[in-house]
Amino acid sequence: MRIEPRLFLSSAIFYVVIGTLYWFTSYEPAGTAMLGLAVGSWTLCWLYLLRQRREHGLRPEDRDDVVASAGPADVGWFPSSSAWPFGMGMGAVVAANGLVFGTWLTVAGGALFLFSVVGLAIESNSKA
Amino acid sequence: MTVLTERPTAPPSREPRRRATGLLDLVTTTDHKKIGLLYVFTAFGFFLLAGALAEVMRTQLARPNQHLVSAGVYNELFTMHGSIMMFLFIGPMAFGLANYFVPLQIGAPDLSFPRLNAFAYWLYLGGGITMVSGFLTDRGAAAFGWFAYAPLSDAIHSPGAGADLWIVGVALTGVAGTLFGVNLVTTIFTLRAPGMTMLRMPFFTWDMLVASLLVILTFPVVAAAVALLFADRNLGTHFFDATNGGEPILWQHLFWFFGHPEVYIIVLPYFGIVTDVIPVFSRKPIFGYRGMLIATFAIAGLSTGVWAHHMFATGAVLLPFFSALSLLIAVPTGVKFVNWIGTMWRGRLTFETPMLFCIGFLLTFVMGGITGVMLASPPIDFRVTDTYFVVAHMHYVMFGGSVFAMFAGLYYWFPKMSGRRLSERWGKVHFWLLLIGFNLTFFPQHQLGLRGMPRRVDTYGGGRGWSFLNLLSSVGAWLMGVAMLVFIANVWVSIRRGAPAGDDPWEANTLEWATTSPPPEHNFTSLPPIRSDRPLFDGRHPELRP
Repeated sequence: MRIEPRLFLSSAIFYVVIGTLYWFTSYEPAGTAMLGLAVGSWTLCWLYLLRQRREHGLRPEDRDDVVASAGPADVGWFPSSSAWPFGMGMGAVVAANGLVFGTWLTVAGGALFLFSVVGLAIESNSKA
Repeated sequence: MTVLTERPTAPPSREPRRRATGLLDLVTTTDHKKIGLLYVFTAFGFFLLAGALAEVMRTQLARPNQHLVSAGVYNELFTMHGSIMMFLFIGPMAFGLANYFVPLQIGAPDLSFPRLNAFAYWLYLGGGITMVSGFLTDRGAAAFGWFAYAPLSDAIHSPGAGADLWIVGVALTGVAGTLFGVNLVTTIFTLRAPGMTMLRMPFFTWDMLVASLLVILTFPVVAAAVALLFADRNLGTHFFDATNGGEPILWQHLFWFFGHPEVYIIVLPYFGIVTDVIPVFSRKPIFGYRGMLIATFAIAGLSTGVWAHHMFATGAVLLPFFSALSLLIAVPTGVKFVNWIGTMWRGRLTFETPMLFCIGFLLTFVMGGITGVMLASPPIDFRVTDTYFVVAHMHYVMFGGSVFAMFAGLYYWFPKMSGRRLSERWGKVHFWLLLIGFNLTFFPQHQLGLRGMPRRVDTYGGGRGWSFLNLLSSVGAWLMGVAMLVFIANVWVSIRRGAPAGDDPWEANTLEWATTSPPPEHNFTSLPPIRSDRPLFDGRHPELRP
């Protein structure tokens, strides 16, 4: 995590500069608000990554001199199949279409979505 | 997630279970490669659909006073052509290629959140079908142009379900894009192989990282904007309604705060492909890695400060600010061109199909860049805004920039994805047909714009000096259609009977070529040492190893 936090810090600084310049040349609220929110979100990401860096220090992928040895190691659990994302996706799409075609569709789609979210959560709980 | 020092490669699957096959496998897969291919095929399907709509429009405009389709249907055609290309094809195609190749390029077993990845794909597919399904409603699809300006997009001027379906489709694909962006950024930050420092990452990965950050910044804005528009249309609010104290210009601010970075969201990944392909076929390292990187950041940063150059003609925006920033973007883009040309300079160039498409990209994109500089200047913009000059400019940027580089990527990576090679001969036929067809279609449109032909007219009268140029343009469009058929036939045949590719047919540099074609589940069984941004080159030439 050497470069990652810096990416967000420099982005935040960039938007402070652009946002200030924009406000004092145009006094236009919509653009200034969006640039201001950009500063906020990038600052948030920067602070989070900074904390990660403090806690974990340099990882092997941050160092120039490590070798990827083929030792057994666990990077985490990567499921290769799961039905729940499809259920969530279809539920969300049907629910959103309900905004056009009627509330009953939103209820049905929302129910499928929630059911799938619960399924997904239980699945990770048992395996992660 | 635990991250250990000795990073590897395929984590042992804990419980081997029966693998689903066929359709069930497609529906339940969370493998980034399969989802990547789903994205690529879906996006290509939408590309063909939007291309077919364009062919109908060009056929109508081939001669003056033709009425193949009515004015209303014509409005639907150009609206959906633009919307499908922008929201459903070019961005998702980049997401698909990134899905497949970013984990391979950084030596990761998958994306960080495989199931979120699948969820995002289904949202995108559902959103896309929702948007297109407007054609099946009784009043037809959305017909207000792909940027849906208020007040044309309100409930009075655009009644019917088609417009609402367009809104829902944009929102769903916007959410899908945001989720994918978060997933990709996390992957690049946390799943790189040991030794794969940020400054050794291949450029496609870098450019996808920057594009994903732009996605995270801007897609929520468009999702919020269409939510406000939906509320205006259906819930009686007045955000964009001037007669009730609303502000139509606010829509333009919100839309273009997304819309202009979107141009770079969909161009940067393709820059990345070109930057990875050119060194391979020049047999040289990329010229100026850091310069390229800084240029990428400069382009991304500036792209979020230029949104209102689409709004010069409203008279309600600050011209000097947006004009100056827009002109400034030409500088980092020029740096990139210097680096691409510097990479080729005195290299041992060979012209396989991916390289040809990269050169086609350089030629056409620079043309779009030059007209972009012209349009960034308000006096010129006032003269030609909303004419075919702008249409020509944006197609040189989007088609020249993205589609040519997309084909470079598809030809380059097809052996990795399928294990077979595409026919080089038919690839070259495809390239020349597309290059000639593209320029024949869009170059005359510059002149049409200067002669005053407005964009989006469904037909025109003779005797204005537009007829011949329009005919040329339509012939070019048909030629591009033929080029697409050649490509599809090439893929169709090569996927069955192409020559086996082997792991690394191009003698490439980056990690995706260190595994088998196609790669196994979780990608790698062992990784080469990573000592530079060209680990495979280092392996082939140990005497040159730094």
